[in-house]
Amino acid sequence: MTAAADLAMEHGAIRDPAWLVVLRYAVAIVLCLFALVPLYWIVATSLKPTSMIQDWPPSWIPSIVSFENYATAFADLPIARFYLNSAIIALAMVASNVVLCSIAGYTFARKNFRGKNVLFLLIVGSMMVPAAARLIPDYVVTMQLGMLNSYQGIVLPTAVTGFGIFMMRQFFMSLPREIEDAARIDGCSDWGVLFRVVIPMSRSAITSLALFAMAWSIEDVLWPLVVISDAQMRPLQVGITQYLTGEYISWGPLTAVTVLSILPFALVFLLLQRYFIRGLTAGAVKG
Amino acid sequence: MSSPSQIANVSSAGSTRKRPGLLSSERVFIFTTLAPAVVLLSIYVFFPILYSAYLSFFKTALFTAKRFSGFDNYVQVFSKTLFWTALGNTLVYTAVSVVLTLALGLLAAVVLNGPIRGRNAYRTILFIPYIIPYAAYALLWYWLFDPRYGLINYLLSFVGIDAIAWLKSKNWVIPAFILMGLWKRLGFTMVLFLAGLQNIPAELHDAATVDGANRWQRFRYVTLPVLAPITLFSAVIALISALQIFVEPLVMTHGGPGDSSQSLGYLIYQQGFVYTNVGQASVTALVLCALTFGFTWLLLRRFDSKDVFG
Amino acid sequence: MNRFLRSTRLAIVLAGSVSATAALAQQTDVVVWAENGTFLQQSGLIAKFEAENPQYKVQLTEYPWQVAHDKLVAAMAGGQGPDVALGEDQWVAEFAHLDLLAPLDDFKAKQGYKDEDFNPNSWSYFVFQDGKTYAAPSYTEARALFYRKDLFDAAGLTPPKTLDEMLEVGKKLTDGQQHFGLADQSGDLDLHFFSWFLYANGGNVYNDAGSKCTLADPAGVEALSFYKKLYDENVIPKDPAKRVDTAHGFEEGYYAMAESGPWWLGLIPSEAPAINGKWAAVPLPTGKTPITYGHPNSWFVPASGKNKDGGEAFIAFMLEPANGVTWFESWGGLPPAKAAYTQGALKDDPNVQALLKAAQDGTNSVHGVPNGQAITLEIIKMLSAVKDDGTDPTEAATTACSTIDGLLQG
Repeated sequence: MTAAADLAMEHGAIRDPAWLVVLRYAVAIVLCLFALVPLYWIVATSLKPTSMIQDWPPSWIPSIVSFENYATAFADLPIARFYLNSAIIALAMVASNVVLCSIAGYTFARKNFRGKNVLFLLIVGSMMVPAAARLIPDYVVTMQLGMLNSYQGIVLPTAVTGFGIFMMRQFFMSLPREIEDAARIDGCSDWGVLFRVVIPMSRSAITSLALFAMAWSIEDVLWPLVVISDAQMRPLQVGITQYLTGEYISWGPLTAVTVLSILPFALVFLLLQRYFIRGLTAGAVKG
Repeated sequence: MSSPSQIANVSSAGSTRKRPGLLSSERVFIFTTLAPAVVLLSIYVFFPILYSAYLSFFKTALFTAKRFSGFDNYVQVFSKTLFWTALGNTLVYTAVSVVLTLALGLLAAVVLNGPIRGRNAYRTILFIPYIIPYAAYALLWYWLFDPRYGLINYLLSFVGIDAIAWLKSKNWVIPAFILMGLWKRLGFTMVLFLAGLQNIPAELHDAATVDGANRWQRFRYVTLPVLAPITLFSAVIALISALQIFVEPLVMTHGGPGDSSQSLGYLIYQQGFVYTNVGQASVTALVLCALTFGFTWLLLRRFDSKDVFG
Repeated sequence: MNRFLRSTRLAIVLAGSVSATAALAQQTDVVVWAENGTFLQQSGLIAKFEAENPQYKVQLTEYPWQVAHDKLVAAMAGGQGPDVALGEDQWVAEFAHLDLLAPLDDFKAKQGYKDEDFNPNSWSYFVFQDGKTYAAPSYTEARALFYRKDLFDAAGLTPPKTLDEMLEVGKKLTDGQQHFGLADQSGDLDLHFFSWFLYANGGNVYNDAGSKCTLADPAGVEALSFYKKLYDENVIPKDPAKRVDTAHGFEEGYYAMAESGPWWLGLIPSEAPAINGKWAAVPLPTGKTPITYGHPNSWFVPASGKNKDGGEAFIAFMLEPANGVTWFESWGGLPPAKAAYTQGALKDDPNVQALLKAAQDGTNSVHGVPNGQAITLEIIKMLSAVKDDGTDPTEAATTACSTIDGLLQG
């Protein structure tokens, strides 16, 4: 959608006065600076040679760009293996959330059965159980299931989420029912309707959920740290803690690993953000 | 929403008749689609909170119940000022951060929904903090908040503001958490609002314009009401995550200075791991859970739950 | 554990085969957990151990100090702990109290370790209330006073030998704005800092039996008053907004003195080469007694360890004086074995000898009592009340003791 089209859509034929345009840019720039300054600091620090990280006052633009911190990180940590771990965990988290939340969300949106409302409330309520309260029991469960030190041990507690079911249900409820009915008359089973009709219409909502699930998989450090004892099984974000050594923090490699762990995801977001936003439109707000 | 679902029932009953077989039966479909979610949530979410409820009545040894102790854990937890301090801190943090996150998230969404060059770049920049791993996030801000070598006070010095103690001060530590939390979650809230904004039919604006409404009136009487459901949804999500704050005190302050940054979420962790008193940790967990339920319920009651829960 | 979990486990067919393979693999695996920055891998010691003990293969995992304790609690409670772990001194009694550790008395006897061959406060430090030894010393954490020679020379001052001198010197080096005498410490470090004053003043956190808090005794209150005075006199910044990062403040010359451990000896040259030659380390100034803060850290073997022999073999390897020297050279942990100080680099290093002297003059820390970690948290809160809220030291100590008394009961 172009800016001009937006203009026409949102403001009718009226042209925006200059002050509004200025204000709009001012707000956008201030908010982005707020987000950007710490981000810039991470990236800049990761590219500074050790001797310059300590500089005070800080230098905004590193006079020497150095990849020594990245080299250090690659030398200290099995980065490729950590990437593989992160990718497996992210994919598993995305796949399980997309599939399981979609099918459950569809049933909540379209089917009637006894106890549906209570069950749905419980599922929404599952979002409200504090993570800190889940930590110990989830650890005990994971241990009893023999899943410590495994990918499934990391993924299963968030393989399906109240948030995801809730979101997908809202989306499915906004879809026109007539298409599904038509498919049924043509002889489609419930599964057929779901996978051949509903899912293909929901690409944007599914993209949104997939991106959220990916964000969760990369954000959490504590759970993987607790479940995984074999250093080879760690996802990339746990590698960051390697540089937490008490009084001195090795900022260079630490920021380098941080950049490495968010970079692929930021690219995915940039590429998919159109779907992302449209998916939520339909998901969170009833059409 | 009730009448269409009856249609669905009728038609799926029809399909059952046409294609008899185990998998096409509607009951099996309902069961199969819900079972994985119900099983996983039961094991990893409902079991922990029920187990906590059970353990809260026991004296515990590490993670297991040792002997029944009635309301002893409750008395122990509620009689400590630490609990009430943590409760107070959590409520203050939640109230301020939810309001700020919603207000700024809405502002960002409105601005970045308008005609502005480089919109996608702005949106991406605002969203990236949401995907920064928690460990890096907490360490990064720990450094940014250093009174002398941190970037925040350095920037403030350009506008003539004296160094603020941030994490080293009882008065500033919660505002520091609010600021960094805002940084992390602003983009997420913005995305939710952006979604809502795209749902406003252009005709509504046009009609209001024809009726002579000015910009503010259009925003107030056209945009905001359409955004109400998404606002409520965002508020619930923001509320839930704010009430659970615990990574910040865990990594950055250990609840200090004094108890000034102790939160209920961190107290659960501390009671469980440092004091190895899982019975008491369970009491705090139940309180936090009940609080979250209570506030969410109030929010939904106050602002017409139909918009969100359909 | 409980019925629900058991039945869930039965439902998982794979679980049995997974743990069976794990058990097979662990016959030769020695699972070692250590903390970040202790450089076991980088020092080459792991490789050397494997070369000398071909029957063992080391699986090393490192954790940040901040979460190592919690990770150990969770893992050992579930019987999933390592075969040997490196940890803080106060964890030993806490874990022993929870029945999580295997006693090492037989190991000590079998290896023929004698207390007099180690720094004072080594093996004896880890004897719990039941009389059994639950850990071996890993490295001696003695502390030193680091000072900026350039600033001292410019002011015509010499490094302090007593706490009173430190206060006086500190006052002279403080302008309350851009320069302060002594670095602020926060969190866990604040505890180390105060402990130094406490032990130097003849006080202790609890009585000899470890049954009652003694912080509110005159020696404790005096130490706390001294701590408060450093802030009130602005030797350490009274204004929290002036309490800046210790390492960087020392590097900039914002702080003229800082208390830290031997690892600074290696870190300053690499992280802050700009001040080479402008700083030195001296033993911590003392008070009424020569005792300061310090302690051995520990190697312990979890009761649930699958390869206890391997864990013990690893400890024995690490306790060899030559290996202790190698380890010291890679990151700065002082070897517990006295013989290490008579060889190579350690023998000729004046900074190391200064630290060794401190260790030999006697050190102390919270140890041998249950709930060590929780007790230290109470002390940190007490310190915050005194320096930030202006709470009277007697009152603050009494309040802290009312909680600590309960924690000492376990």
